[in-house]
Amino acid sequence: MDSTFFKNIFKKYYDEVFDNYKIIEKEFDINKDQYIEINLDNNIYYNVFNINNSEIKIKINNNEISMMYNEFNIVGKVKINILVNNSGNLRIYNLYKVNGNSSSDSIEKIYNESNIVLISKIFIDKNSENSEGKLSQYLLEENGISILLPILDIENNKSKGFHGSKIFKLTEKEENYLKYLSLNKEEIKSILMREFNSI
Amino acid sequence: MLKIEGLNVYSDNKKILENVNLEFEYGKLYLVFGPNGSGKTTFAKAILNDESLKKDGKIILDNIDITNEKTENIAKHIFYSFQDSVEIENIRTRTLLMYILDSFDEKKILNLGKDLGLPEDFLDRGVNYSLSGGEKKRFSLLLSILLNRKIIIFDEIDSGVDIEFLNKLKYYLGQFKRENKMIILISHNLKFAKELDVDKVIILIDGKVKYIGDKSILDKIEKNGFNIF
Repeated sequence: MDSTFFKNIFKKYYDEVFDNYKIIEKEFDINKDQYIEINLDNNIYYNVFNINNSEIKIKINNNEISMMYNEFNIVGKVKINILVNNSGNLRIYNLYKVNGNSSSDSIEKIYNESNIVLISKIFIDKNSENSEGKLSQYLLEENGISILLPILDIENNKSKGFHGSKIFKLTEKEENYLKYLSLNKEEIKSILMREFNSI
Repeated sequence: MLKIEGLNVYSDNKKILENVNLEFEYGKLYLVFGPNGSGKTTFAKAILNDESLKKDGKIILDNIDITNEKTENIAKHIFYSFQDSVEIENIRTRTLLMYILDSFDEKKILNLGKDLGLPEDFLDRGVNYSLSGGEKKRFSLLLSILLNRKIIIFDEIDSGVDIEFLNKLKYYLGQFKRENKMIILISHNLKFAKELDVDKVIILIDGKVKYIGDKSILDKIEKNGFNIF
């Protein structure tokens, strides 16, 4: 594993600073519901999650310049819930590989206060029949720049992929309406945060 | 008491209201009436110091000058029901009510919502989200009851709604009066207005107050239109 792999997948979002980073590789076999918290540093993280009929919750915290690649190999009925708390400069590539007769329901929640590029791909290969991959993305941004790139790559006609996204942001008109209900800017922000957390 | 003194209001450098002087008392129902574009909504929004408007003059609430107070602070005393309520998909009605109400009694709110004709799941929807025009007015009335402000301004809450809702509205307008609230009803609905126990009618035309008096004026307007002014 070298930086070429990451240059190819992130393309124009790859930064030369990553050339000098250490690559930390990890593999997780998950057969029961699990919670994992990952605190990122100035490294490249390469994770493989082999998930079988389970639900996994992952919390990723970043306030550095970091890069992360997560590959999810999905067998059976799987739920994946990822929360990203970013106040640094972060690149994430999530690849959801759904095997035959399997289904994945993935939620990506991104709370971004700085810069993030998130590429998320559902991949079902030509031999994987009767499979389904669903990806829902929720973004709450505060003074940040977020680039979310969802990709559906479904090679088998008997399988399906879905994607939906929601940005937790209010228009001026909406904020104004709430002011008329006695809410100030801080309170409005706190309500939005509450809604985001309740997903 | 709410006193408006020498109020001039401008929007996009255009004068919308000119030298408005009015006094409103608690326990009374005021009808603000006038043709389209006469400045009725601007008048209401100016009281709540809407940041899109520029104004001079004074607005005094219970002897406190609120002319330049923030909208959200004035809204703690005055409930303004929008003519066109904004839909907010990202905030559920339940969450909003939990923030703005002193106490959140879900059963009571659901019963009241049902009585007013709101959909059963309205608490789980975004604020005003996917509600019909009539349902939005119902939600505004619900807010006016739950928020319990001492002053309520209804901006055309009686337009585009069915007779059943108008009857409920009529009941609550009476109830608010009995609770010694000040109610300002901006309306176009002459027939409905005539049925109400209105204490004072204010006629606004081209941004100027043309009449302050009893509701007998409504019969004259019905016969001759606004040309009498």
